[in-house]
Amino acid sequence: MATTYKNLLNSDFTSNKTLLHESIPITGTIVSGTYAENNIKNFSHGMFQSVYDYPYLSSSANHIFDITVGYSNESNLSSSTNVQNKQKINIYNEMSQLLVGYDITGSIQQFDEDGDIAAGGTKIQEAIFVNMARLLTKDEVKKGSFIFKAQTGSVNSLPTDTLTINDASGSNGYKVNSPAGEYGVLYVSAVETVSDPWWDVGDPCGLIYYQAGIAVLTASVFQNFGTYGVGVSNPLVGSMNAFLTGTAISGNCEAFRNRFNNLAYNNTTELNSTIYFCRANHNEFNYSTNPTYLSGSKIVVKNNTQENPLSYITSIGLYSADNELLAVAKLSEPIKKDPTTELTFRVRLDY
Amino acid sequence: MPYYKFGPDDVFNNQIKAHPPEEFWFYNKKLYYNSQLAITGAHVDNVPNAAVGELSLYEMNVDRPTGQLIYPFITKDGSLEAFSTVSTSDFNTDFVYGDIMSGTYPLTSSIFRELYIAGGYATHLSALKTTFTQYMPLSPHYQVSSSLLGRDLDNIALNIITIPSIFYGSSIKKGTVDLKIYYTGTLMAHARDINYDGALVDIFSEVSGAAASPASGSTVGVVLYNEGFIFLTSSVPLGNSTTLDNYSNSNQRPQWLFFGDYGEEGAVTNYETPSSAFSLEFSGTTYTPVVTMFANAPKNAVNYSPNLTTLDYAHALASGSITGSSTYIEPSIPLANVASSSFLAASASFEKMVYISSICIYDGARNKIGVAKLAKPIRKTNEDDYTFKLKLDI
Repeated sequence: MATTYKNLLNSDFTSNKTLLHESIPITGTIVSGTYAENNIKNFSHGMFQSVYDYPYLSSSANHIFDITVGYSNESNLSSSTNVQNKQKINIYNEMSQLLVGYDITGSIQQFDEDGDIAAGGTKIQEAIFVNMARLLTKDEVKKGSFIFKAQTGSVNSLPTDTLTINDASGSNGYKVNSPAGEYGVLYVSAVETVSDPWWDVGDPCGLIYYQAGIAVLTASVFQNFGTYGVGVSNPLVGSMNAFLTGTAISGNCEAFRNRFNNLAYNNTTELNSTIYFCRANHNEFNYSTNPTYLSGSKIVVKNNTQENPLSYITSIGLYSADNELLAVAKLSEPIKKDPTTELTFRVRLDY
Repeated sequence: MPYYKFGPDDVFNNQIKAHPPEEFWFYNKKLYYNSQLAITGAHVDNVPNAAVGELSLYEMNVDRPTGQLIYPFITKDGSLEAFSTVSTSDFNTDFVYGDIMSGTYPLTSSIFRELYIAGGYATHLSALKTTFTQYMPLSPHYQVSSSLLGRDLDNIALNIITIPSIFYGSSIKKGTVDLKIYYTGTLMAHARDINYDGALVDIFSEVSGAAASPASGSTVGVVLYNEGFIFLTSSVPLGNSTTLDNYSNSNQRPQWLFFGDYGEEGAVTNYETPSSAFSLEFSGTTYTPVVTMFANAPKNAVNYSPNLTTLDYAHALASGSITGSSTYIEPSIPLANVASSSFLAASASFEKMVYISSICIYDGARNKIGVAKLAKPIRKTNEDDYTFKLKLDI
């Protein structure tokens, strides 16, 4: 317990923020194939599908993302005769309420292809939603780092035909008009397919919400690529439209997973710090209240009584305004302090 | 929905003190933690991507092949932050602003063994001498140089077992440290801190009833409970001339100095001790802060739910709403009577009651910050007075 305290002035502390990132690669084999669907969790409500990086019954498994699909009730595909029509509309509305918000009439707004909601333009009315786990996205997805590669060939072909999507404008062209934080537009960055003319490089095809960790892909990413389906072992194939209307959400999720070639992004963790500059002037902290400091009324670390007072600083206590000890900073080795020296200790508190 | 403010006697901050048991086995060049065997994955030999006997800190790269691993990185910028593995000089000279410094996952932790030969400079003993002094009130065996015990730790061989705090929490519980040496499956020696003073006493004969072993009854080492170190000092050969194994890559009789030798010893590696197995058991001490809240539902209160299903809409439809050119009055809808009658053909008299299914916790600004769900709804009438106990581990 200290007996003398020194007040920290405004110039004695400052705050700092450091961004720590992690690179997250997710290959298509994790999402479909390696674990024979044991890492895929379907729920009785049938509203979405969860994907784990290992069979989810194992305690080692980590949740990596959820997949679901939905369409607006203004979509041409919307029909009461569709399989899970109400659920697909509800999913779309839930996502758009959360990510796009409401207009001045209180109506739910639709996802806008270029993010410029006020200008109108093309809306994403049928969407595939990929909700990435907070465990992996941490504070946010790093802007400009999102890359998704979709397999676009026939269901029976090897993934030679691919469509690469990224948030090319993310680092400096992100949008801020979402209630869920910042988001960027996803663009087609490469088309590695021979026969398909549907997409060109630079076409907008979805949105990525950085803080929410949600990617919204327009379902027409897979349109006009012939049959869309879950592959040879499960011969459920058809056009994208047929899937959205005639197949349950879980079937759509399954089909999407089988078209999932690769996903990579970087996450961001904000490390907030306060740095306290603890200054020991020449005439301060040259004495210790430690009982071992004195022996027979003599300072034990002094060889000669005529010498200056001397102390060895081993730790720094940070106190509240009412002198309550809040934190202690320890030095790796004691620092010698006498009236001929002045020291500034940089104490960093991370939170 | 009614809000009730917690009173001064309704919220308690306390902590749960627990002593989780831990066990390590050393055998045949492998270390096993809590009897966990390797789980072969599709891409790696052990699914957590860490060796058996190691803990993976973030448990992120589960069954991932090389090249597909999650890794951390930081960009050199004005904050001057870097990973601790990047030295200050490397930070200054090897990286320019905007460069990326990468780390690796998984970060693993496990126990570690060091054998210092007699007369060698035991750096970790040197670093812990002050700590030894702090433990001296517990036992004289903590004295580094003791004429009473006739030994000086600076000059004798030392077997140091280092236990990271992730395995024990705040401290190792006194009286729980238990070490065993097996030779071809037979217990050869057994030491424990039987006096709760940190001194490890060989209790082999006492426990097994067998003839006294050479080290039986003697103190073979000490434990630093708070720091997680075990110092074994006894070099008394155990067993007999036929119980030999390849300790320190040399055919010898077992002794406490060889405890934990499973084929890795400083620069000497990759040898086998096929006849020996060692077990280390202890209990840690963990503190979990807990907030305990008492939510009171007093008599004549909390007997109404804003849930619309508590209204009797059949009656509302009969009465209807009142509308006019400048008026709209909602229909008066009575509460549904859910009181149960004791008679088959008769309904019970109306009684105010509610089924409580969850309790929400709000902050000062009435932001919902927690929800406690009941296993089954509790019926509350005007006469009932309930207190719900909510516990939140932090």
